Amino acid sequence: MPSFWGLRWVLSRIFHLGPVALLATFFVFGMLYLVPGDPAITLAGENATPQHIEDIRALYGLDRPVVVQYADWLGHVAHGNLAVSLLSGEPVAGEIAHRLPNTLLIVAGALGLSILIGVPLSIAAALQPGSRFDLWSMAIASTGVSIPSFWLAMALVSVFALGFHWFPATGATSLSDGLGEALRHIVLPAVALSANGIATIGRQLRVAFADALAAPYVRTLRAKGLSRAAILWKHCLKNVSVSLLTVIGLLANRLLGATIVIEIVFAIPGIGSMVVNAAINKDFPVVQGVVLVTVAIVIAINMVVDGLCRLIDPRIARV
Amino acid sequence: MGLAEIEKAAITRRAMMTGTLGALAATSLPYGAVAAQRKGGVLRISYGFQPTSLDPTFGRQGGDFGFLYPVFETLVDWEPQSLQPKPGLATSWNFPDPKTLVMKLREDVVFHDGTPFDGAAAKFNLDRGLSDPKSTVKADLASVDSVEASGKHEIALHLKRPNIALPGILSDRAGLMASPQAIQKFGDGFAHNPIGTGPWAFVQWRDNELVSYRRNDYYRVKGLPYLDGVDFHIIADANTGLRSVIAGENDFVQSLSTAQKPVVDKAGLAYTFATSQGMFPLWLNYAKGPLADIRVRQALNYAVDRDAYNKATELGLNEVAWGVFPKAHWAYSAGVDQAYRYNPDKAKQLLAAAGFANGLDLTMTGPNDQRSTQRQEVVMEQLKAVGVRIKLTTLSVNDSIKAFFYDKQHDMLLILWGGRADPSATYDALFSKGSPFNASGVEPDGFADALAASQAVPDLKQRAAVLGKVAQIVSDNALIVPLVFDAQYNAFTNSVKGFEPNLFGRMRLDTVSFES
Amino acid sequence: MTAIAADSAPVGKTALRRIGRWLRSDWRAAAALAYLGLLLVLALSAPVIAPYSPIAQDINAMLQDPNAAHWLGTDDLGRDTLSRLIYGAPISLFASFLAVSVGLLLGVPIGLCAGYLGGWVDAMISRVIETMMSFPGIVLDIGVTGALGIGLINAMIAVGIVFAPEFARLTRSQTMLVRHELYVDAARSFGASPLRIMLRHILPNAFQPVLVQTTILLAIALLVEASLSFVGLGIQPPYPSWGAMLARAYADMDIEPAQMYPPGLAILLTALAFNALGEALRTALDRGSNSSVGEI
Repeated sequence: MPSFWGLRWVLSRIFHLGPVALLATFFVFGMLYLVPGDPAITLAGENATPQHIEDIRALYGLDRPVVVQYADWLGHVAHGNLAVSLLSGEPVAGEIAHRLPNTLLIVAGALGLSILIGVPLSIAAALQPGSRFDLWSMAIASTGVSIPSFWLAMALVSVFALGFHWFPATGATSLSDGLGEALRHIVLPAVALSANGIATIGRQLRVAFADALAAPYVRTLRAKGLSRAAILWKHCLKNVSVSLLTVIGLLANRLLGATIVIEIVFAIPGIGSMVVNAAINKDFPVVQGVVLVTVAIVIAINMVVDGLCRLIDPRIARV
Repeated sequence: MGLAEIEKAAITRRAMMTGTLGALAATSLPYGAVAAQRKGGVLRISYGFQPTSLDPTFGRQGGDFGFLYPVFETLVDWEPQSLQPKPGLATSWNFPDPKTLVMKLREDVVFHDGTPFDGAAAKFNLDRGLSDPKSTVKADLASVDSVEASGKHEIALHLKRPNIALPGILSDRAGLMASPQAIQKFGDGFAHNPIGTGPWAFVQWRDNELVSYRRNDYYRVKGLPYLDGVDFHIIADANTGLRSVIAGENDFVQSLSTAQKPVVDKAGLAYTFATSQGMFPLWLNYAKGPLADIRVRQALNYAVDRDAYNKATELGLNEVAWGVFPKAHWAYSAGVDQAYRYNPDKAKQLLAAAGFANGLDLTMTGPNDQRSTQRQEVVMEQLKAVGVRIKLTTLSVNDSIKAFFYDKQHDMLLILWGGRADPSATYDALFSKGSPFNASGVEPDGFADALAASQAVPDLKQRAAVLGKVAQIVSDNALIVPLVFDAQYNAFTNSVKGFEPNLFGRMRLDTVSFES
Repeated sequence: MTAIAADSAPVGKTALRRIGRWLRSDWRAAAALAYLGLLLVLALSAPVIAPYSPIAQDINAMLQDPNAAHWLGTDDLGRDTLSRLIYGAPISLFASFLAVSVGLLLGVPIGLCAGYLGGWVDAMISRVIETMMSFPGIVLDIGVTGALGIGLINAMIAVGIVFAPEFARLTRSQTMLVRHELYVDAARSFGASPLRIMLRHILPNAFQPVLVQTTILLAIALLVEASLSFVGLGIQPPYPSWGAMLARAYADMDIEPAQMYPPGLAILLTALAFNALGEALRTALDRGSNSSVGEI
């Protein structure tokens, strides 16, 4: 069996990236700690006396040194849980598990749309280099990368939800309400997010194709009479697939960030809006938990991308 | 809106005539219910807040009350239009001596878990409020020394000092009654399993999404509630919430901003628009700097054009504020009305007299959401016209509160004041030198005495007069710059009937039903 | 993969000449530069060109449609949208340049050191870079802005800090390619200090992809400023930035949807111009060096 499927490889990646994930959480924890603002005040409530605030601070252990609080949290992680939200008292892991599907649904939808539209677009453009179609599609792709996604979201809501009533204007429904309804709710957010993705995939693949088709051996094949399309399918696919996978990995990371503002515009209860609220209210455990989960997801996606790239082209040494 | 006005007038007249605290005739229907409405249906509400806790003693924000009132009732109830206290779970009360409050409790009331509501249960709740480390009502109950269950359906509160405001306080969060057995059984989990005596029983809380309730078949008032259930869908943004009602995903949306009126009207929704006791002021820190000079503070009061502010931020629909209470409130004092009518020339004169002929620089903070930013911008522009230059720092709500009240980093703050159940408690919270909401930590001469006098008079009418003196001191010293009162603006589909807004600005659904 | 021509000193000038030639023949780049130039002029002469003050309110003219007195209509306090758009230009441009400058100033030196010095320095720096790049930038932006204090300058410094790893990584990989070149060995054998080598020999040859990335990040900085203003962390009221205008337009969307288009389009066109410039630069430098600078 090829070595990259081996346990050793997976373990070595985890060993390599585990510290990264943990470092990320310490970084964020430290940052949160530097942020002015006091969860004790939020916890003490509207009517609080300064004494009450101090009592609350002691009660929740917020007066302990930073490192101690972080170590405490690490202890929770070591035991397999993500501690409890300061503000709601609910287990963070539960809250994340509840809201993550909403976010992932949109990101997956946007990713899917980006691939479904971006790949054919780039292929079509690559097969007619320099044509009007090529130039125009790349110009549109440029535009797609320059659009603020939440502005696009606003425009979509204004026209399609409030204007034509084709799609709902608000949030997600839980999957228990039926797949159809859930899908209807994610159309507008996914479309808004995907503009950037379609453009990115379209452009990057187009460049990848152009590079592949510019290789010397391709000229030989063209001289032999093979069509561009045939060359593309038979010979260039490998290299291009690697590029595609790399872009998808990058896009997933970018989309997870971009979804935050989208969730706010559409009032979707996902982890994006959750982390913004938690950061504003200094709910440390929630921010830590979301960061850890997000980093883990990104690392996992990149590991898969890495693995697939190696599978396709074992010569590639990923840095 | 017409119905609310008529009812308000009737109740106020009735209240004025009856007079003495505790002697109001117990009305058979609580809270102004209208008889003969259809039973059934589940009301879907778009609500802008998450509950901070469903445990009444631990909750931290005013937004919680929408979630608490379906499940819990207070010892003392209140008239929706004037906030005057009336019997709730307590049928009557009196002060046999100034430092003792005796309350007789309703009999035959059970909690949702079947346990009886009695003196022991009331004592349990009040003790918890007094002593639990996480209790947020400790400050409210500060005057209480101990609580005694003096009879099966009677409690006696022994006070550290006389406090006539206590019944009013017990109509607020401190008076919410929860099942002691459930608290002991669930411990910390009670916050997710609230059990009270209210019209509906708690069913579930899906975090940041949904809180739902279903009918309490054993509710003490026969015939209520009309609704089979209530579902709160948590949608933070008011625009999105309104859209959900227009789209038919919800039946009711609360706390709209006045600016949304054109959208509501265009969609043909029903609505209620009523003044609440919440007020938007410019809070001042007058301990130091230019604001320590009374002339500067008066200049600020003359410099703001409240009508223009009203028009810019509330479409001119809200009630302009000259003092701390709106006209409908029983403690409203007409004496301070128009005391600082818009007069930019007078403002400039006062500033010049104070030595600021070339203008002055002040710092301001406030919340960073768009509606708040809009308010800040209007005020800044008005003050600029008389030479007051403002440097603004917007922060999250909690951070702006911390920066102004605790860290004392800014001269002014523009944020909503939610009000308190009792008028003396209101003045105390706003202007007493020891109060956490008095950033300056000082109070004018005569204020403490006038406030104490207002807490010693049992008769409501006399009390209102004494409170008027407190209002005068506040106004004369220009301790604050009142702008406008908040309005409770709720919109709903035309099939929703019977919703009654109240001066607290909180949501009570006892009287709501669907159209038959 | 040879990214750079063989000798070090004239490369800078040759590249510039090549760039000039390609820009003259590439209409998109020319258009982008023309637009940006126009924007700069507009930005610098805002007080002269704008018909109204950007903060002057008129409560009798709130949320108006475009009309003769207000070509782009008014916002919810009766402020002229066109004037706010014009005054927003220098603010938004300044924001983007600040963020990218901070990113360059932090990231390029770090990348140079990591790539040239290698060893544990490289390992440590790479680990930090990977960490910072492994989670969504906007979370970092929010956090660092909070730590530094709310305001446009702090927010864009935060964004710059978040950009730094990308510049660092790019510089590092370019440095690693260049450091084995003959002229670097020559300089080293002449006794030049590492610092001198890094600055005089490596940096000029490594900067080309960084230049391309700069334009792309200028576009991204613009979009991030809009996002941060949207969640309330950007410029303080009452001054306009395009992002802040967009945030207010969102709040008024149900009442006056037209207000979202001027700032949105301004952001879109400017980001497009930056991106087009980047594309053209990439093409010019690519063809000039006969390879694909494949950094994404």
